[in-house]
Amino acid sequence: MVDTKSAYMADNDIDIASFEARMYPHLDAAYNLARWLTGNEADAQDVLQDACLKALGAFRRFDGDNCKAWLLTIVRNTCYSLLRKKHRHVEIAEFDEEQHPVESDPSDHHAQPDVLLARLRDGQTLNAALALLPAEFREILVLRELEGFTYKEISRLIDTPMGTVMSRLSRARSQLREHLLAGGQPIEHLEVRHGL
Amino acid sequence: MDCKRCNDLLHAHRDGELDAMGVIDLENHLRECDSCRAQHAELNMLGDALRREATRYSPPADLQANLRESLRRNAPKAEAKQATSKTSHLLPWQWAGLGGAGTALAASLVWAAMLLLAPAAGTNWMIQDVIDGHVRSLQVNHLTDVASSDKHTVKPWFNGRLDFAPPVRDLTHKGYPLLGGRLDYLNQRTVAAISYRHRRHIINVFVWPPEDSGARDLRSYANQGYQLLNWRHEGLEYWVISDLNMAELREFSRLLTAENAAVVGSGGS
Repeated sequence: MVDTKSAYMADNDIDIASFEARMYPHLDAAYNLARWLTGNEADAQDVLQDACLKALGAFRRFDGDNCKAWLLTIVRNTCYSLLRKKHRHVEIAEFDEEQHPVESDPSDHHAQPDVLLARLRDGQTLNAALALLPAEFREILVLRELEGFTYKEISRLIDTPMGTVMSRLSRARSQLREHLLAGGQPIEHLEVRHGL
Repeated sequence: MDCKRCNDLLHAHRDGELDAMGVIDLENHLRECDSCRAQHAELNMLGDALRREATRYSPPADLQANLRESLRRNAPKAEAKQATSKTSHLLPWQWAGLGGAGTALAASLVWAAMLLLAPAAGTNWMIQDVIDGHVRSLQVNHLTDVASSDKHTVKPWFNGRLDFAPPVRDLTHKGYPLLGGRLDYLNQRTVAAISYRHRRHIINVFVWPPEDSGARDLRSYANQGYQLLNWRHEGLEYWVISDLNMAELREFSRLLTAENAAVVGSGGS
C-alpha cells in the first residue's frame, strides 16, 4: 500500500502547509507585537521571518493547542535577541520585581483624572508615551490591553511568575501615566538602567 | 477594605481578575473614598484609551507572500527517511501520469492528505466562513431577521426555526446593546446569529451545537481587519466576530459567558 503522506507530497511541503494553516491567522497579532517591541517596520519584518523559520523548525514537536501564544512567545524572544544584539535593550530593574513587590503609599499617587483625560484626548500622545516605555513594559501593556490576554496567559507567554506579571503591569501603567502627565518631557527614572 | 488594600487590587479589578467577593468589597470602598475613586478612574481611562486608540500596526501587504517564499526557501530539511517503494517520492502529477481525470484524482487525494495531516486547516475555512457571514450581514437590511433589543422577543423567534435554543442575552447595561437575531449558514449547517453593538462596531455571535462534544479553550484570531473568538460552553460552539479591538471583544465574550453561566445557574436558559 502506498504511504499517502510520502506519495503525494514532499514532507517539507506538508509541514509548511500545515504550519501556515495554523499560524497565519495569528500573523497580524504577531506583527503588531514585533512592531511595538522593535520600534520599526524593517526590524519587525525581520523578526517575523526569523520567528516563523524557528517556529517551523519546532513545529513537529508542537502538540499544544494554543498556536497563538506559542507563536507570540517565539516572536517576542526573537525581538529581545534582536534588541540585545543591536544594543537597544533598556533593562528594567528585574530584581526589584521579584524581591520587592510594589508597595505604594496611596498618598504618593495624586490622581489627576482631569489632566490625564486632557492628555489622552490626543491619540498621538498615547502612542508616543507607549513608545517611550522600556520594552518589557510596552510588551505587557500590548498583551493585556491590546490582545486582552489574562494574567495566566501572559505569565505563560513571557515565562514569568504571576506575581511579577501583576507588579510589572502596575509599574508599566504607572510609568505610562507619568509620561502622559509630563506631556512628553523627558523623565528621570532611577529604576531604569541601560543594558549592554 | 482600606486604601492600601484597595490600591493593591485596583489593577486586578480592572483586568477582570478579582473574585466576586473582592469586587464587592472594592466597589464598596470606592463608593466611600474619593482618592481611590480618582485612581480607579485614571486606571480605566488609561486602559480604555489604550484599547481604543493605541495603534495596531498592520503587516505590510507582502509580508505573507515573503514569509511563504522564505519558509520554502529556507525550510529545515525533512528527517532522513527509510528507503520505500518507487512511487513514494513522486509528486501528484507524476503519479497520476497523464493528467485529465488522473490529475483531478491526484489533486483531490492531495487535498485529502492535507486534511488528514492538518486537521486544524479546517479552522482556516471556518474563519473565512465566519468573516464572509459577518461581511454579508453588514450590508443594508441583512443584519437581522428579527430586529429588537428585547431578548424576550429575539429568543422565541428562533423556536421552530432551529433545532436548538440559542442563548440570547441582554448586555445593554455593560455597553453592548442587543440588535437582534437571524438565521445564518456556516460550516454547512444553519446556525443562530445574534448581533450586538458596541459604540460604532457591530458584533456577530454565531452559535450552534457542534458535532463532536470535545471541550475547547478560548481561541483568538485576527484576519483581514476582523477580530474573531471561538470557544465552547455548555455544549454550544461560539464564534464571535467584529472589527472591534481584540481586548474589548474578549471582554464582551467574558461578559457573555458570565451571563450565560448566571442564567443557567439560576435554572433558566
